[in-house]
Parts: sequence; structure tokens; C-alpha cells
Amino acid sequence: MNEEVEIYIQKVLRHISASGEDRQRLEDDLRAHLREALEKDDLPTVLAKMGKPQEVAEEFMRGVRLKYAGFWKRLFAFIIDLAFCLLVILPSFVIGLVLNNAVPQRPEGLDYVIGAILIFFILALALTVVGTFLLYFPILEGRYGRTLGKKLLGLRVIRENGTSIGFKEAFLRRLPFYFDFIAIDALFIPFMAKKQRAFDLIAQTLVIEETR
Amino acid sequence: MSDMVRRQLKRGTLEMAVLKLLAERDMYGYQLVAALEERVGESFQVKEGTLYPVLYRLEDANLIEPYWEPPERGVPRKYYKITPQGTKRLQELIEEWQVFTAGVNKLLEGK
Repeated sequence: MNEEVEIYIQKVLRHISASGEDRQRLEDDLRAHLREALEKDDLPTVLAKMGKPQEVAEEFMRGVRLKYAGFWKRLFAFIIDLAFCLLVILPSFVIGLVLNNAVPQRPEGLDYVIGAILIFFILALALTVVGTFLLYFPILEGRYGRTLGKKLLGLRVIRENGTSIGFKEAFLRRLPFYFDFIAIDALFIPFMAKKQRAFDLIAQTLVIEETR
Repeated sequence: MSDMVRRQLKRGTLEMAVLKLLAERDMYGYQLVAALEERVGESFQVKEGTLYPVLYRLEDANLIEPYWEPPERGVPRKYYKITPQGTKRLQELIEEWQVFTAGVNKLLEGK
């Protein structure tokens, strides 16, 4: 089967969140349809007629009943994620401090080389700490739609139209975390019809429970 | 006609169109797309990929029913047939459509 056809199908599937059965049904139907269409037209024509992967996914998600994830489940997932982050951040921080104290204060000869190597490692560790804090959530949510904590609890972040979010949405909805008002932000959840944080509204995202 | 208007019109009538075609004879997805294009013309060209989600919705609502049919050659095809509920729903949709368009046409013709 044509490689570009498979790429097209995967693009559609990446944008939808649905149970394995529903996914499979769409995948099979799209493949059968494309195979038949390709007997009459060439690939660019066929793909143009299919519509953008995003459009197909959106139409698909219009028929899916979403279950919005509530406050406590999301809080629990958040705590798990914080624990994962601390697992990386704390050792990096402690080792960084230890190395920092080991940097020779009155260097002579070889001490300069040792000091330089130590400082290099300290910087790397510091970057790890800052990087984890800044990137853990948006990278995982932007790329996979969920963090480790959300995966464990069966949650997923999607766009309001049902399709997968990208890095832009992932960063936008994370702003309250960076600026330390996520607790206030999360207080919106119980009161919103779709259980969104204030920054979910802004980023036009939802957190749903997956039906797997 | 703007894309937006066309999309909204299609969204509102695609269900009726699919039920009507399936009321005439059983078809599989690709045939449905071809039939829609042939019978309604360019103005109703659906993005072919978006037809399947519509079919799933009709199926989940028990208005149509899939079954597998092995062809003379090649892979089996998933045909759809209309259910009794589907036939009933189609009648309702047609009536609504006629009342609605009659009203709008009257408006457009003016005094």
C-alpha cells in the first residue's frame, strides 16, 4: 500500500481521541476508500478530495460523546506529575550543590581544568532543573496529549473541537503554572460546564477521560 | 457561495441525502460519495473523508446498518442498508425540508 496514503491515515488518527475499536473502524474505512479511489485517480487528486486530516478528524469527533475530567482526578494526576518532576529536579539540585562546593576556590595548575569541568556539569544540572520545570508539561501534552500522570489516570488534553492539541495550546494552558497561580486557575473547574480551567478557556482546550 | 455557508448547508442536509440514497439501494462508502457527486453535482461535493464519521453517527443511531459483502474479486466491502427507523427518519427529514424550503422560497420571491 502507498506510503503517502498511510501517512494521511496516521495524520487523521493522530488528531482523534477515541477507543481502539472506533479508531480501527475509521482506519479500515479510510484505507479501503483510498485504495478504491486510487484505481481511478492519481494520489494528489485523491487526497485533495478526501479533505484535510484535521477536517476529517473534526467531523469524527463531532459524533463522539466526551467525558470531561473532574477536579479531583485532575488534581491527582497533577500531584503524580509533580512527583515525577521532583524525582528529576531534587537529585539534580542536590548534586549541583555538592559539585558547586567542590569547585576549587584558589585554583592552581590542574585546578583550572577541574573547575571548568565542574562548572560545566553544574550548568547542565541547572538547565535540567529549569528545563524540567518549563518543558515537562507542554512537551508531553503538546506531543502526546497527556503527561505521565494523565496517562496513569486515563486523561487526555484535546482542543475544544475534539482534535489533538499542539505545543502552542500546551504552553498557553501552562502559563498559570509558571506564574504560580494554577491553584486559582483550577478553582474554575467545578463551576465550568466543560470543567475547564480559566486557561483552558483561553487556550480552547479540554481535559477528557479516555474511553479505553 | 462562501465556503462557510456551503459547509453549514451540507452539514444540515448530508444526513438526509445519505438516507435517501440508501433507501434506493444498499451502497458502500465509496459508492455513496460517487453517487452524491453524480446526483447532486459540484455544489454538494463532500470532503470524502468526512463522510465516514457521518455514517458512524447514523449507524450509532440505528438509522443504517452495515454488513460485509465479498466482491467477485479483492477485499470484502462494507455495505450499508437503511433500517426501518432510518426510513421513518428520512420521511421526517424530507417533510421538514419541504416545509422549510417552501417558507424560504416564499420569502425570497418577495411580495
